Amino acid sequence: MSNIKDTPPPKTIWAYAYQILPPQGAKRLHAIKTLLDQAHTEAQGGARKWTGRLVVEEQITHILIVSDSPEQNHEVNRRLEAKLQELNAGFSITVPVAVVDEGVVPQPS
Amino acid sequence: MDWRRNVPILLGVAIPISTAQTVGQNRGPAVISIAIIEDNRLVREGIAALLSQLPDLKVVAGGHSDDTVLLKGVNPHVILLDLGLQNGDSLRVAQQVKADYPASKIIVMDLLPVHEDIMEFVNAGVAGFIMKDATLEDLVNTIRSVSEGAHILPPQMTGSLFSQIAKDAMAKGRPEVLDSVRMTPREREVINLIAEGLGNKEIATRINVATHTVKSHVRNIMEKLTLHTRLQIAAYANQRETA
Repeated sequence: MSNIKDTPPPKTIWAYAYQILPPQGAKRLHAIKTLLDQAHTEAQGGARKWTGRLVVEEQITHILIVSDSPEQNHEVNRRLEAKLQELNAGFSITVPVAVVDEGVVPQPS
Repeated sequence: MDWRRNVPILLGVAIPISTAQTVGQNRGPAVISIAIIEDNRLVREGIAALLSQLPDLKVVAGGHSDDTVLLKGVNPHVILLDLGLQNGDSLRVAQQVKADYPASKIIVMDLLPVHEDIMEFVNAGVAGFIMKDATLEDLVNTIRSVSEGAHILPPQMTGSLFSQIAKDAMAKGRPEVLDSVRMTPREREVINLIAEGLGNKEIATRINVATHTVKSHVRNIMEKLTLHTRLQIAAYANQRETA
């Protein structure tokens, strides 16, 4: 009994990525970076997890999103996609992947 | 099924390509017969005139959406179908045409269908999509590839398709989808720390590794996410073929 009380169930988090082609320079991504920072702060204020991280590589730019929800239609997603369209950047989005400890079966929220 | 972009921009990341069949291995007909279903006569005749200049393409029929009977006896290799037909029911037309002429490959022409539209047309057996603002070269390449058995999705739609598949997966809660990627314990740790809002340097300090090692973990995570998506779409395509 005490074990159940003492060990809270691990929280599933979700990861997915926007893939942006052609790769974007740091200057062009400034607005995106600002948006990601704001979204992270807003999520923290609401006791939620939502973090976006720019990963700039030579041939592609990624935005790694880590969230406590697999949903990809949050307001922040729409804002982000609008910004990418403003940049005329082609992008695709990967499916969300549950990140859990071994043996834990993820459940869609 | 072989989904591929109809533009040369491709780094092999977001677009799954089946290894079972490539364009070069499955040559289409020497001359590709084409029917155009388009309510706008000027557009229809304009497309026909442009395509007929090419020796390997032959427009054999053309008409508006109520005229699909015109395809009888013609059996075109490829049917170009306007998504914005005046009667507004191009999905029904696509389904009917596919049922009546199962051997013909259908290419839908439109500006930008919404997510649900794309999936409905894919489910109806549409083999390709071409945007109305595509170049003639895009259109010709799409026709040739589709006639050879490929399936073409414009890059503008790939994000939509991924989103739709993700949404479907979430709605159905398919465990095989959710379990099909394996992160190492270290990668999971890195993702957890990213979720807390830590930067690469902070993560490096926290788990006692070099910053470039953290970056390497993040790159690996990206690759796995992409691979996961590729596998999922390949599985989806396989399900469609075996259904």
